[in-house]
Amino acid sequence: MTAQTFYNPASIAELLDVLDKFKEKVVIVNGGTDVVERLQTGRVAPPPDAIMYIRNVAELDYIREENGHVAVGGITSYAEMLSSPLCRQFGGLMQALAEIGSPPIRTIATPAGNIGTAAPAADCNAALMALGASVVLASKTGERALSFEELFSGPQKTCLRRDELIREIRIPVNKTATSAFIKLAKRKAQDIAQVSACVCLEAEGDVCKNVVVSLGAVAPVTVRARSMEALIVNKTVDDAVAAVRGFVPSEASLRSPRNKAYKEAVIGVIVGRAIKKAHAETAGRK
Amino acid sequence: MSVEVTCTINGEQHVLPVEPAETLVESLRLRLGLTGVKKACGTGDCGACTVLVDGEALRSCILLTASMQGKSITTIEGLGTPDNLHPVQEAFVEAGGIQCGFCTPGMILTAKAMLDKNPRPSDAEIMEGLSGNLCRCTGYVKIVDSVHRAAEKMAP
Amino acid sequence: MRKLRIVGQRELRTDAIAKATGRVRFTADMRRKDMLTGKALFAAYPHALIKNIDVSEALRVPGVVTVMTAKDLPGRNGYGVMIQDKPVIVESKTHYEGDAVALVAAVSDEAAREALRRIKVDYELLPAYDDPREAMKEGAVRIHENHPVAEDGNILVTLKLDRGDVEEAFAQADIIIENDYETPIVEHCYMEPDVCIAEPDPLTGGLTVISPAQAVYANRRSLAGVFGIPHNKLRVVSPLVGGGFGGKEDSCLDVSAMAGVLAVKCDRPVYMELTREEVFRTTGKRHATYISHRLAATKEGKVLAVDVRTILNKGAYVSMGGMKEPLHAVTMRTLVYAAGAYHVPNARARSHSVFTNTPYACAFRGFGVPQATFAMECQMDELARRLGMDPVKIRQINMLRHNDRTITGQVMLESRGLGLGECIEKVAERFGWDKALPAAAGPVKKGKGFAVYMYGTGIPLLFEGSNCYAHLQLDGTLSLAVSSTEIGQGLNTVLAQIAAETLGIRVADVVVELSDTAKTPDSGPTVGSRSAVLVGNAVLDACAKLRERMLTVAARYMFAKTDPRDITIEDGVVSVIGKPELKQPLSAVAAKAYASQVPLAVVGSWYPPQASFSAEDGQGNPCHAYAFGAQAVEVTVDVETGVITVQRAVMACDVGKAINPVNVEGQMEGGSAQGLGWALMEESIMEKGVMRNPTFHSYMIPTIEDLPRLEPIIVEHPNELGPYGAKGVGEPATIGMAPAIRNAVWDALGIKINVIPLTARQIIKSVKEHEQGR
Repeated sequence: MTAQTFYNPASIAELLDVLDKFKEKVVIVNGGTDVVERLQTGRVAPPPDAIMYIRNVAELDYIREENGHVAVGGITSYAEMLSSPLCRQFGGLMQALAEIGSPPIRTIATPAGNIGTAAPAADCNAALMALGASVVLASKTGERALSFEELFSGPQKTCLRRDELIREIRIPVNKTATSAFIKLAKRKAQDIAQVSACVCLEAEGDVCKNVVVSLGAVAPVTVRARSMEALIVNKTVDDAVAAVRGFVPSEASLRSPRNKAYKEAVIGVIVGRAIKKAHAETAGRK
Repeated sequence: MSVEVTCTINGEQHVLPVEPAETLVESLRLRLGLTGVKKACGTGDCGACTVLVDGEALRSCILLTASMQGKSITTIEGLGTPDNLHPVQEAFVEAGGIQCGFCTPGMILTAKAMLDKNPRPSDAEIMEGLSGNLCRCTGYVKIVDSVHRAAEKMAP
Repeated sequence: MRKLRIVGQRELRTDAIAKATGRVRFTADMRRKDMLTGKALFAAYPHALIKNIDVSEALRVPGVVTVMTAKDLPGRNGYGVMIQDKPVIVESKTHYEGDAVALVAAVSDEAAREALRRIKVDYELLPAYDDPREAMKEGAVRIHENHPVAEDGNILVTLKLDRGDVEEAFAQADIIIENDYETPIVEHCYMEPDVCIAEPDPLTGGLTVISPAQAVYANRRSLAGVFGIPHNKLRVVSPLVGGGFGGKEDSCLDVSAMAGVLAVKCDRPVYMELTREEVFRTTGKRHATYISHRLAATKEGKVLAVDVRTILNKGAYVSMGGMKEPLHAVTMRTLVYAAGAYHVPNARARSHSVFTNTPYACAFRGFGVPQATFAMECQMDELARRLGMDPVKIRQINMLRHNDRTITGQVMLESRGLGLGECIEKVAERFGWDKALPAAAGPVKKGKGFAVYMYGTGIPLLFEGSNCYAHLQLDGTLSLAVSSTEIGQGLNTVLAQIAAETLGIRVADVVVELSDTAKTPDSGPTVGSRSAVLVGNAVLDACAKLRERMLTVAARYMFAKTDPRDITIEDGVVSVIGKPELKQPLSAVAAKAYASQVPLAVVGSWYPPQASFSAEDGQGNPCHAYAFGAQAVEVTVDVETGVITVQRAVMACDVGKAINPVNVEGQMEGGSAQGLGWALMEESIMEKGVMRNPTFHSYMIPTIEDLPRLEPIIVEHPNELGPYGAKGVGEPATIGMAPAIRNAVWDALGIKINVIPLTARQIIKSVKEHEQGR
């Protein structure tokens, strides 16, 4: 049966009450770009008793810098982030945002929503992971923070409890790091990544000192590729690019035989390009 | 249990009793007879069902009508009339940007929202702006031309 | 001949304002609240025996009016464009995912969906085939136990063409080129999903079916028996069509058959709309092909012979697939175009159409010609390469010229329009073919590619007559009626231009009534790039008759003692040539004619010269005229990521006469865009009969950012038999893009790839294989 009740809370407190009451029997609609279609085709499990639209909770709509991070509210859209001067410092994030869907999708879709959906190919998730972002989860019993590495538990699955809301995304400000995002898709617009990579880099001159590499669409969840990072650290950019070329990180678990060889062939290529791009930005800053 | 939604559609206030999971495209087409809103995929992938919500181009097949409380919605029917076309509509007619016409309402409304923000877009900006609207007939050449033409018409 | 005033002008489309304002009504926009919702339970398994169906639970769902299985049908359980081999509801076996197992009608969408969930079907699974090469092997499970026309197991038909002495030509050849090519299953992706309103007609006791069909009369003939009524009691209406590209020749039969039997059973109007996923899974597709092509040539570059074997993936049903009778269909066209647009004196071609468990393959813009031409144009590029010749030069050496015979033995005549040479020259010039591309550095390589093609106008041997009604009104306006559909191509505008030009009135004074069997005569299906030419000629015939009558009446009653030949009609004014003061409005002449017992309603008809094609050896004259074209593209290929970008695309098409150049450009641009999709990204991925990508986010069609600014060039070599010289333009432009892109990729990478789509995955695979020196 279809949902019988519609909630349109105006505050976080009201929102959390509904979540607490219905738990897995309420579906949260944020941007709705994914979940509304699944509601129509009956692909929301278990079938919900209620739908809660959270876009009118004004206290969740913000982008601000505080305590050494940029905080993005739970209903803030991709379009708002794209036009935010605060987000502009995260090159990889901006590049990922520009690759998401098309302008009408970005107008309404949200990073919090896509985190909840936990699609392994989600462009923004890869960028946020590389940038060391975390999420703040709120429930009636309090708040907790999870890093992106802890967040995803399986394909389309997160570690969120059913009474929890993604209240905020925190992206640490790191003035010494630069980042870059690269995505390969089947066509040039409005397409899901075949493979994506985000590299967050701290370099001294031409030498990569600290690096985080995240990969999209190479495993059931967005992954951090520490095995690649190990190949990059303390190498010059050129050596690092050469080292990752052709390398298939152990964090990738490619099952579909159709795309396995392709993805394996290009992971190193796009990580290498992302390293160069991130480094070029470092140079640009000086 | 239905939800009562008050919103403005093409300048007129409506109070709609809708189902919680009902999409805006269904409400507009079936409840209000605004059949200029086209449903082509139902998955938010093609842009044919685009409407303007508070001036933003959005896909009505992945919007819940229940979430439209207090919003102002414009469909293609609210843009211009045959005797008094909106400049974007006029431009699509004149520049050959219309073939089968099924993507046209969404294409025109998306173009309008884009031009409202960026009155003189470049080719690249037009392509970026319309990249989520699929057309299978035209090869898009005359659609790009139509948007340029509309920009000229709308220039102050 | 009078100077043309309207034909050849860039007239605005007559339907554009209605479409731009969203006021025009497509089929789905005519849904009323009193209509039942029809839905189908499609096969859960593409190839299976149905052991039992239990609908009892479904019937108990509140709001459900009926649940039908095959035993509940009112008439014949079979229909199809060429042969009635597709059941409305399968009885004991499924052949593909799109077979309906049961149908439901209910008072709401929700109730209908719930009923579908409660139908229980027991299946016994059979092996499912995606690849015709597997399905045609000895020992393969038969997909159709007792197919009415299948020749040999899963092989529907084998057609052949023989000309000259192929063995001798290969023996004499300096160079032989031999390759295997593959092209994929692709989806039409018209934006308007398939939909039907079926409504009992209490006046006739028959049925009205409204759907975006491409062929209202063919639908009537195919479906009347399904509903158990005579042809004249089935009214078929096709409002504006939101894109079809050949697909809605069949798909609207499917949805109309299902909605229609529900309407008959319930005696109530039924609305049935396929979801996009259902459109993907159940409707027709382009034939996938596997082509083994051998080509023999001299060292001077003259092609001596081709020897071609084509295997077509027929999918589950015949559709437009091809039989020996009637012959003209996709399979036959793969023979006719096996040597492309070239003069090749010796040819042998064999084409096998083979059933599989994929969606039935049907008409799709180009009708088999893009596949055949792809192979030949790749062969020609290899010939140029092997001889160290320019790809344009090799095409100029071999292109069809006046009095040359095609491989079917048809003589090519300049009088029917033969502008291939001009197309090649104009494309090469605009593109700057002679200029070398700047050398590329780094991983992104550049390349350019060329292709040429020809494409016959119309679908002779199936149905090639056209009729229209033309009725001059007493106010001087004209009503035209044709059964053709406005599918986006701009036919209503083009016919209005032909009528206005011929009769001497303004375009604004013509209304074209379209595609309703109750109101319009049979003008043939809207397929095969035929309508502007064949229906255009019928309109020209009707309007010429009307003009003649008006001139006679004017001469007799209004301008006494004037010879009708000295009178003209322009912009609705009848006047004596050279004496502009002697004039009357056409309305006055029409009124005089009306009062003088001169009929103002006429039937216009046109039938081209009888076509021929022998099932014995593939010889004959399959089409009265051919469009020709050339295409050049520039691509960049990222060898590390496999990403291809088409940077430029220049195309010329000899269309005889562009009656409306805007529409012609629109056809060329849109056709090229579909060709680009076919070349680079489109493919229905089948795994044992199950489609893996049935959405617009998993099946890719080009977005606005995937296309360069396409550069069409119109070339006009008039067809003496076409209206004002026209030839068909709807499909030709689809053909050249894929081979041109593939040839450009070869140029860029130095790697030959004989499979499309050229996805990034394919490019990387080929690059790796090349590096390993396979």
